[in-house]
Amino acid sequence: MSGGLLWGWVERSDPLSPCGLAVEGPGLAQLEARLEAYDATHLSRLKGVWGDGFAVILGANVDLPWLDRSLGVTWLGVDPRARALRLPTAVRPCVPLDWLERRLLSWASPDCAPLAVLPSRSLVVPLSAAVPLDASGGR
Amino acid sequence: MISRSPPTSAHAPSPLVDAAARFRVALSEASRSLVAREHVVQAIALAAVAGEHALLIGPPGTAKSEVVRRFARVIDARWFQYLLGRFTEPSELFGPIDLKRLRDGELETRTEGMLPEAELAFLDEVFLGSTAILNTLLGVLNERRFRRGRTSVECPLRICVGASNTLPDDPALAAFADRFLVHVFVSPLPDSRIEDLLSMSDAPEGVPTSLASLADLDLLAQAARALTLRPIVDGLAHAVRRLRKAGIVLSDRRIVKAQRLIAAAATLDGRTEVDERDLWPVLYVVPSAAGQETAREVLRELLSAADNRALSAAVEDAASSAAARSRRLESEARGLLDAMPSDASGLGHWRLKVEGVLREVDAGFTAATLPASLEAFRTQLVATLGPR
Repeated sequence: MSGGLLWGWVERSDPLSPCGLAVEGPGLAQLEARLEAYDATHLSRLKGVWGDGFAVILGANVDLPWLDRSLGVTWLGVDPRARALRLPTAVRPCVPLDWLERRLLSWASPDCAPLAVLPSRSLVVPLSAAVPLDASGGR
Repeated sequence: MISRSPPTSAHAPSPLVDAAARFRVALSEASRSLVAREHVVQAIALAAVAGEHALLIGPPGTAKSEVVRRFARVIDARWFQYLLGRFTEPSELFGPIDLKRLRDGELETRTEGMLPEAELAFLDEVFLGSTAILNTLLGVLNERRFRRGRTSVECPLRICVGASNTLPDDPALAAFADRFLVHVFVSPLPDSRIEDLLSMSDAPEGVPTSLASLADLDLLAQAARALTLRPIVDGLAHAVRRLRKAGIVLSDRRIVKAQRLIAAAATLDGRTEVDERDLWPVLYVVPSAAGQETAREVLRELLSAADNRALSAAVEDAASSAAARSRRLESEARGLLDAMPSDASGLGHWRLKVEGVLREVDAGFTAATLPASLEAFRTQLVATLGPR
């Protein structure tokens, strides 16, 4: 789901600071195990969205769980040129960011913002429904 | 893409390499247990080797004086520090009038233990000095000579570090600020580093002394002055044009003197040739905070090759180059691996720090761009976390 838009990605010379991570496929079980090990205070500082075969966790850099990249992890951050998007930290779209932000918001509706953009599946995930995690694993 | 093998270049003869290596260790120790201030220590060292002065601008309580004190300690420099105010008398900095000689009608200053005899000076709130103080200071800064009445003494001053909460608006004071070639803007720590700040000891007694020496500094400075700058002239000119296009105009003096910093950077990296890795100090020549922010953006591509073994934090602050980030993360990983707790009590906190470094590695590099040296540390860190 990317609104019919296709674009490429290039490496960033200035990586973004992580404010979330997307986990797809095999990493989901690991993610749940990590979250279950957190105490309620730590969990309350995180928010999450679960979808079909993926999850997006949002929070401050220091609170985010680390999972190995081999488990299908994409770290997400905010580029000041497109504050409504949560973009991969190490790569950037090779199209103008303000244009991309406008197009994706018009496709998904501004009410869905922020939007996580996952290059691995050409997926755009509305994060407006992200909910605080709780001790039951957050879902 | 990141080059996995650095460009070849001439390496310095052994005494210079040894001095650069000692400086590298000294700078690392000077910033140990200071959070997010490594680049400040390194920028001061850069200015010192270039024979220039540095200005630290930032709010009170941001470790500006502590950074300078530590630098003086690790190079065993005789140092003088003073907090200036509007009513500070020249004698408080330069020494009292010699009354015996005054009875004979001669105006002489007793400079023992005062600024004219210091090898390193730190002047806090430097712009609050009176006209008389600033005029005398100009001579000390520019000519390394103190003149007052019949007194005219050569000053052993290697570097003067000034500090202020803000840059002055007054044109006369701005001209004085321009004499400090390196401008470093020191901000309070971001939220993400508060835990680090609270867990660090700030005891200066913990900083070893004499890890390098003034003789090392002088050797490096001499070597830097001898470097030919031809290889970076085009690159520097290109950088200046880009800055001008972005509305940042450097004085001719600052442009010319930027070359000294570039030479000092190469020397501190243990090289006898400058190249594209050494252009990054031009960022610190930009005098204003807003100008430096803009410069980071407009020079990002031009400075993408920036690298320095001794000054990696300053390189990262100035240029955000991948090589500098990699060096810092390698250093952090090495520190964590060396400090792995042997009992369970500190293991939880240590593992969180390991995860923090791994998070930054993975967020900052793709598998394709991860430098081989950092990848090796990453593998070791992942192994310490065990099966997940």
